[in-house]
Amino acid sequence: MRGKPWLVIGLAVVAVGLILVSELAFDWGSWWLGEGAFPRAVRTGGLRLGAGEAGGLGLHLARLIGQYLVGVLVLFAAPRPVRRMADLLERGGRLMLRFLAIGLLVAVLLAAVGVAAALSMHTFPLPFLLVGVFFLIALGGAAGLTYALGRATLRWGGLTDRSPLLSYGLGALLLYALSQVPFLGPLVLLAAWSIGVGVVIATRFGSGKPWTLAPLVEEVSA
Amino acid sequence: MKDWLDDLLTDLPSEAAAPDLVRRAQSRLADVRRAEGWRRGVWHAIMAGATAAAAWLLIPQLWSLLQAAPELSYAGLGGWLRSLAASPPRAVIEALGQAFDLESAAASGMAPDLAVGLVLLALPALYVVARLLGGQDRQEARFG
Repeated sequence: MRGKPWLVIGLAVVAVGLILVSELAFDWGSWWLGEGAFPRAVRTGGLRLGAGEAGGLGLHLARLIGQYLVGVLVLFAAPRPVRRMADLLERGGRLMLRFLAIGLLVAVLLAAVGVAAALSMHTFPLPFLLVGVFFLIALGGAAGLTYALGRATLRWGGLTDRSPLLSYGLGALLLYALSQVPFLGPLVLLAAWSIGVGVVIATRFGSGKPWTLAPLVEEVSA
Repeated sequence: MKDWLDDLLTDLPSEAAAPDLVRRAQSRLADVRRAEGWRRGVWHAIMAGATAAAAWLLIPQLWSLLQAAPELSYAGLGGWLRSLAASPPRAVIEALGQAFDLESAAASGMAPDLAVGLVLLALPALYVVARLLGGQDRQEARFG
C-alpha cells in the first residue's frame, strides 16, 4: 500500500491548531462556574498573542512533553501488556463502549469499596491504597489507548508503525489536543481514562488471562 | 494395541437408540435454557432493585457528598511541596495525618443511608462488570 504521510501530517497540524485556538480564543479557567462563559476572543474582539498567551502556549508544550515522557516510561516498563491492550483497543466500536462501561463501573465499585472500608478500623487505610491503584491502572490504560490511537493513525496514513515512540507521540498529540477543546476536553479525558481502566481490567492488567475463580475449585496434583 | 476394555466393549450387545431420544434431549435442553433464563431474570430483577434502592438513598445526598470532597489547589500543593523540601519525613507524616483526619471525619459524619446506598450501588456494578468481562472472554474466543 502506498503511504500517504500528508494525511498524518495534516492531522498533526490540525491537532496543533486546536491547541493554539483553545489557548488563544478561550479562557480555560473556571468556565464551569460561569466565569468566561463567553470565549475570550468574543470578549476582546479577536485573537491576541501577548506575553500571557505565549506563556500559556509554553505551558501546553511542557504539559504535552511531560505526558509523553510519562507514557514512554509506561511503554518501557510494560511493553507486552501495552501491546495487548492496544491490539484490543484497535478493534474499536462496541468493544470500546464495553471498556468505557467497565471503566466507569469499576470506578463506582472502588469508590463504594473505599467508603465501606473507611467504616471499619482494620480496613481504614484501604481507600488511599485504592486511589493509588486506580490511578496507576488508569495511567497504564490511558498509555495503551494513546499508543493504539497513534499506531492506528499511522496505519491509516499508510505509514509503517515500526517506531512505538513515534506512534505514542502522535497519539499523545492527538489526545492532548482533543482534551484542550473547551467543554469537550473534560469529556474526552473522562472517556479516555475510563476506557483505559476498562481495558486494563478486561485484559487482567494486560496479562490477557481471564478473570475466573476456577483455580479455587480445580483439582491440583500434590 | 487392543486391551481388555476394547474386547469387553465389542462383546457388549448393541442397543438400538430409544425412538424418542432426540425429542427428549431437545426437551431437556429447552428446560435447562428456560431455567437459566429464569435465573438470569431473577438476578437482573435483584440488581435492578438494588440500583433503584441505591439511587433512592444516594440522590438526596449527592450534593453534600460533592461538597465533602476536599478542594485541591496548586497553592496548597505548593505549600506542601515546600514543607516536603524542608523536612521530608515531617511533611509525609503531616500529610498522612491530615488524610486520616479527613477520612475519619467523613466516616464518622457519614449518614448510614449514604453508606448503605454506596454499597448497594456496588453490587450491581460488580454484577454488570462481571457480565461484561464474561462477554469479553466469549468475544475473544470467537475472534481468536
